[in-house]
Amino acid sequence: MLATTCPSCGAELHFRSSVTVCAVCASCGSMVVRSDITVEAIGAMASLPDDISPLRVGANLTVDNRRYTLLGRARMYWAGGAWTEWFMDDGTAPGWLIEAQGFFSVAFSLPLPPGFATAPWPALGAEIIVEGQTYRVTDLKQATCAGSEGELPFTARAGREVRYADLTSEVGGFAGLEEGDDGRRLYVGHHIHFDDVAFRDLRDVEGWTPPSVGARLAGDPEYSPSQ
Amino acid sequence: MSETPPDHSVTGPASLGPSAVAPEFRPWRGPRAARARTLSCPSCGGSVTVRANGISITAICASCGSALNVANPDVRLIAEAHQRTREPPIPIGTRGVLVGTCWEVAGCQSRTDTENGWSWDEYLLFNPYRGFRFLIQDDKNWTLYCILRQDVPNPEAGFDGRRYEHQSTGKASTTYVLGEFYWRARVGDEVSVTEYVDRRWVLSREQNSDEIVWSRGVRLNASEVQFAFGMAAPILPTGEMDKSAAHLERGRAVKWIFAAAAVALIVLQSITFGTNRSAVVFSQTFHTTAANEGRTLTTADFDIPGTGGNLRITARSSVYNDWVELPLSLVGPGDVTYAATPSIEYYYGTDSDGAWSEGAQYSQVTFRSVPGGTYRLLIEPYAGGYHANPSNPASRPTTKDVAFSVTVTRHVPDMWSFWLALLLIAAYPSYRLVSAPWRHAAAPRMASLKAPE
Repeated sequence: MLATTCPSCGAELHFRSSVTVCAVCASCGSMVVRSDITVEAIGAMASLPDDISPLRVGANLTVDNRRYTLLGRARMYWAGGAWTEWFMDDGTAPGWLIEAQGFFSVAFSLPLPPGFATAPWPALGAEIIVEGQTYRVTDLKQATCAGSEGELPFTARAGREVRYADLTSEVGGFAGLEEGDDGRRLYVGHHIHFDDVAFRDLRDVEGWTPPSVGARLAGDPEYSPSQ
Repeated sequence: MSETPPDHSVTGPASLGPSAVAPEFRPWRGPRAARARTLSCPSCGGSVTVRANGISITAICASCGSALNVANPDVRLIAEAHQRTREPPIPIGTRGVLVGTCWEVAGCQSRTDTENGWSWDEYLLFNPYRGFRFLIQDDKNWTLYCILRQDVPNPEAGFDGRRYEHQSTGKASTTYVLGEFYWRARVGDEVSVTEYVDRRWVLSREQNSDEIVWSRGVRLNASEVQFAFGMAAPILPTGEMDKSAAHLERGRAVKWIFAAAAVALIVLQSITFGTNRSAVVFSQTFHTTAANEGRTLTTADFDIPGTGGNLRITARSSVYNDWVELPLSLVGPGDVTYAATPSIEYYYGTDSDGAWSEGAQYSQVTFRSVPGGTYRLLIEPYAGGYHANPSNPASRPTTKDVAFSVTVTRHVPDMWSFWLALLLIAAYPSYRLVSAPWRHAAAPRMASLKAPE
């Protein structure tokens, strides 16, 4: 962890994950970028509009037997609405928790295979093989970053344009190719259920009680009846 | 996909060593709790609540009916309207516990399939932790759906370890919207809907020009939904049969022929009644508790005599303000299976009009043609009495003894064929008498598993 101070307001500022490069100061909203030797404020981040999500920076969850902490988020807008990408780290295998339309999924970054950086952007229906698994491009969309909070492994400026190719595998699971001003990224991920990842340290939601941890509900169509 | 997360290397501009999160990290105490959003309608100034704040993109103002884009902090008017909105049977904002989760009604849309003459209501339910469900009411069933985030290649080839059967195909067109939605819901939206059914479970495929969405649904008891959302009386769409007497036209000859045929039929029926020898071939009383939930009870083998004929299964349980549902399979030679779900519900109480009761402590299903042979029954009981709150399967299990009996009767007097014959005889006179075509009431979107009585 790097403990430093905000170059703009002097408040305490942490880079808790060693892979993050940018953090939004919780006191003054400055976007602070670190390099190997310096910490620099590169502008102010407008505060994000509030939402109903019970997640917050500092909440934690268990994925594949690893205990992750949510360290930052980027809020993305597209023609069909918005979603939130939460950066999470357990100290070993950082990843993303994606919150969209009331569903959760997790994704992990892969090194970009040779050729992926410069290949023409895939078309809808194209087949892409990632780690030996065949995926099909099922959706193409363009999104804009509305702003960010906490620390992130890239500079998530408001107005940052990203295009996405969503890939779906026939055996379950998904992958994603995205392209921002700083290049392309490749992810693989899977869908999760709220009840299966033992969320802790969530924030309160006014008027609602959190479900008891670990309760899988008999008869809820979210789950397969054979499970 | 791979079970373990891939060896990470987040592609950042700097080359970075192994990542480490300080163990003493405590969550930030955010300025306040998450909450719903309240805004003013840009058209009428009325107050609009956005419950799924940050997820919903369209909201309909309950005061003036205008459609609003609520995706961004600045609310934009999509379409102006100036009329009072119709409150759906379960009002927007109502909360209720279904399948163990408290849900709030966020939106409601009415849809219609003009080709098939079906119409139904769809409620969008929201919980900030568990997301969205769809509660759909058609003229037969209440069904709770959740969108699937995976493809279903062919439900009839098996899915979820179940064998789904194609049930219906149609086109749904949205005729009414109220509340909020996470998509651009509007009147006139059209999708193709195909449904597959296996007992209580449903798979639904909706397709429009942009996408294909699969959902998994489960049938709920009407009483469960009514209890959950505090509805006073069963709400089921009623058909609008046109009974206008002005359209009646009398034909004397037709009337006489009908009367003669009906008398002949009744005489014939009383003769067969006398020759029918109905016999109980199996009867057993079961005692279950919450510990039996989800388990299948199997009876001993029993013989059904004769080469053919009908068979009635009568289920009885002394329920009071409670329900027992008995999905059962009658399995015979060569594993031939007759499936049905007798549902016993009995409610009583008093109100300002005095005492009332509803339902019955028994339920019957009749299979019209069952060959003789050795059979057994597989029963998977569900009971409201298993849980402290009969409508909430996640509530504390009880130790209550739930007793029910099942009786199998061979050769019951076949009133079904009597009514069918009477109907056939009456068909032509009715055609002559009632010249007004009647509008089709919402027809079954899915057929019931129950055999016709």
